Amino acid sequence: MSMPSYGVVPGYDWDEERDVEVSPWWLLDPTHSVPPWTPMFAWFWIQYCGHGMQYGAETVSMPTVRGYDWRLKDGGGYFTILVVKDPAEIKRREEGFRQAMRPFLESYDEMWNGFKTEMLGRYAKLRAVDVDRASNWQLKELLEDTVAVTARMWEIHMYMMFGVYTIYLFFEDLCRELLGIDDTSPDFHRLLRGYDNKVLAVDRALWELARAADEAGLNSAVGQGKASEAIPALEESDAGRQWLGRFRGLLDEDGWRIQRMAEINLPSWVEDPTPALQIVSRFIETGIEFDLDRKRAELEQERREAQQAVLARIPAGDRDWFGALMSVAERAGSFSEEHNHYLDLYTHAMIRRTVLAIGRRLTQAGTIDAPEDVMYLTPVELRQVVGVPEYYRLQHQAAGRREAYDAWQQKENPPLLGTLTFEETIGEVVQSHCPIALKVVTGALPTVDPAVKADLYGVCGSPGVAEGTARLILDESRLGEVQPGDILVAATTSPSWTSVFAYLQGVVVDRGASLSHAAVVGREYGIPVVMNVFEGTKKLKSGQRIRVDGTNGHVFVLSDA
Amino acid sequence: MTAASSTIRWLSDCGNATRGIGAKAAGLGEMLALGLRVPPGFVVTQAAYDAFVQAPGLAEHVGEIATLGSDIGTRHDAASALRAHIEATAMPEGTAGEILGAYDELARLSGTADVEVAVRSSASAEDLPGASFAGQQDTYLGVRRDDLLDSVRRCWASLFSERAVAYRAEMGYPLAEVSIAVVVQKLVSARASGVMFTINPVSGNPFEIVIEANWGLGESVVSGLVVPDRFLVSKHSGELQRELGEKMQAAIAGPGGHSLVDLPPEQRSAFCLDDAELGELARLGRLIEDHYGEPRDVEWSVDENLPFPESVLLLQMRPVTTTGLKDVHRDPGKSTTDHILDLILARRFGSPTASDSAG
Repeated sequence: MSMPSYGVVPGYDWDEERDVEVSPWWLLDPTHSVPPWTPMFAWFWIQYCGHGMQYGAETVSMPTVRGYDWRLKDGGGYFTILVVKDPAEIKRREEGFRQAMRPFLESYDEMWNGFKTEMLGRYAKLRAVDVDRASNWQLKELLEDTVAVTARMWEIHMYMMFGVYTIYLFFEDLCRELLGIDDTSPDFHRLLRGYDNKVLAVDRALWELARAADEAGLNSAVGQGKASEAIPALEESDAGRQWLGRFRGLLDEDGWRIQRMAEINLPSWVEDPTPALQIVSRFIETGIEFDLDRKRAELEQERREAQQAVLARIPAGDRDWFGALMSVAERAGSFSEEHNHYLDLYTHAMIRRTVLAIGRRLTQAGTIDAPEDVMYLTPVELRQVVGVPEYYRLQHQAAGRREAYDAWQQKENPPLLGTLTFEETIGEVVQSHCPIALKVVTGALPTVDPAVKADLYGVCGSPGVAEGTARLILDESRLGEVQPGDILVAATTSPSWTSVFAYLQGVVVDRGASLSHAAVVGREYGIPVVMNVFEGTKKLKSGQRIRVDGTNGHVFVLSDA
Repeated sequence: MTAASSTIRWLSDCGNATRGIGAKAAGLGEMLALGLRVPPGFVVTQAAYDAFVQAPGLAEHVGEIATLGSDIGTRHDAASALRAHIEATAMPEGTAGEILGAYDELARLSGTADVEVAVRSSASAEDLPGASFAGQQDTYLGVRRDDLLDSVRRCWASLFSERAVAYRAEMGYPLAEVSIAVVVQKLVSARASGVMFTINPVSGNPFEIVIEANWGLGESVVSGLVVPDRFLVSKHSGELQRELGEKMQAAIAGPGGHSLVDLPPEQRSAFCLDDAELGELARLGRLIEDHYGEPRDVEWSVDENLPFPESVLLLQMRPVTTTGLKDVHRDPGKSTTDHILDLILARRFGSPTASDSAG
């Protein structure tokens, strides 16, 4: 018997009759919910991402948006925008906006650093609980605290995102009007790069570990492939133990990241450092020169030149405010990347740690058969049973949802639900003036220039031209197949993909805009990225020789595999 | 030698000396000092003019101008008479000898005994309206040895054009105690010419250089007489886009200026610049913008008698007027934050009255 999908997030499970009255359009979020979510993760996302978006829109007092509403259908996340249409209310909200936006313009760094510190403090409290020794009641408390941290994470996430993206879009408007460039222009992208961020810093630390392993003669131990084999091999020597100490220090600080951005069914690096070790051994194998400092200096220099060129076009009397605006807008790129590390990935690692600890406890008590079965339950169910688990049986519930989950994986969710056409829906999104929807969801549409005879048309994610072998990767567990010099072809990328960028020639992704992961990271590595080609993963094949022209958003197939 | 240095100064020696040579020559000197090539030549300094107007007979006429009242008719007549006097008065022999000597040296450098030169006035900005580096000025093209002294005197006389005198009177500048220098440069034997903008003047994109070009002299491009070849160069990548123009005619040097000739079909359908020349122009364009810190509009020619890259010569330039940023100027009384927020509200959320409620 297959479990219906409702019953995962009661009140938020898709109900056509009811929900079309709420809104005539509901868009699938393909970036985060393809492939479909586990029920446990869906429960967190649907409720708390929605919570954060409503909190964020309200706190920034977005004039035309009061947040998003989310529904879950067959493991897919669908959203609609709660649009403000009454002019009097828009007016009232504008007054609030004028006050609420000030810190973004006047004390951006202070604010963002404050949030990072706050979240690291909250994570430290969760991590302080020794989950294997905690009582059932302490685990129950940890579950409640984890839910509360998730809610708070999404509040900060969306408050920041509404504010930062509003400024970014306005800056883009001005650049278009004033300089004839927008975020599909390579010159615009030169303004955005040359900033360090946490995700790149972690990659650099791994590269330094690779160099240290190479110098200490630990290559064969590190290169064991699995952590379960590499770690005992390293424990055998002083040099190995010393190296492991450094490696563990890095994991403890920065390893709280799940391998998938919006899911909790894969281990974090702390739990299983295999992916981190693989990156290290890949760095050793390729002998790649990962001289981020030099590259960074070059990009920074280029950015300064681009800034000067832009400012030279602004009348002297307007350079002060334009410069202030530009400096906040430029931070949108690094915020876009860094927030994943401090917010989503870290919180999701905490959720996984908490629910798996409860899963182990429930397994001991015979409530479920295996710790991982919690992925098919919800916190509401865990809350009911964790105090005295011996008295409950959730096997049936878990098996039913697992069956539903397996069925979700077999079919593709429709991109749109409701009564509107796709074009009408995009029209609604545009009218909402919602910066997040415009930047992250829709993106710029490619211009097709038949004279160019490109095989795919997209938009510039990062400028430059490169040729190489196409490597189609649909799932991050296969990132190991990427060879130095390849051009990555993917539906979309997320922070767990960052490390391969160090030895790629270029990137082609189906969907995304200038603040999407592939664009931000591609710019920092100075490799061409073409975004929003829609059908790259369908039309390109691994092994083909292709040319990517990031500057113009063109992809050419040079020869077949 | 002492006399020579006060009457004549070679452009290549004008690098940092702005006194006594006028704005145009100073600008050319600055360009040369930066490594920007201009046609070779020399300046007949203000000192030469000063010595000339002290000649008996002429000095009194100049003095008269200064005593005139505000009556426009009288002033007009006096200025006109003075110009005629200047053009009719012989130069001191030493001055004439030095100018002709410099010309002969230029002819020797150019490898042509009777080299054609361009003669232009080089006034200080306050002495002649619009006499900024690239502004309106007297220019005589295709001048040879025999006409050289006359052309220099005509440039001197331009100091007392109606417009110049009226302008000085209006601004309260002295009418008589003024001076002027004259630039004499080898006339480019232009295979192709045109204009270069160090930004895209249409879109305003500061990362693109736009070059418009035609065969022959630049007049056909500047006057919009032909649809020129159009080239767009990316400042970063050097990437080049070409658009072939409809070049039906070209301007060539002729007596008293230039004349138009029809172009044969093979020239109409061929780009008038090659990649190396475009690359060199773009390099010079970036150099100009880096130095002046603002976008510029540059006139240039490729000389058919000189080897590349010496053949790529810059003639004049002016700042590109800044456009854009309509309705976004900050009121000095408003903070930058308030200004940005008002703009965001008005533009991103379409609130027409957002600025009314600004605090």
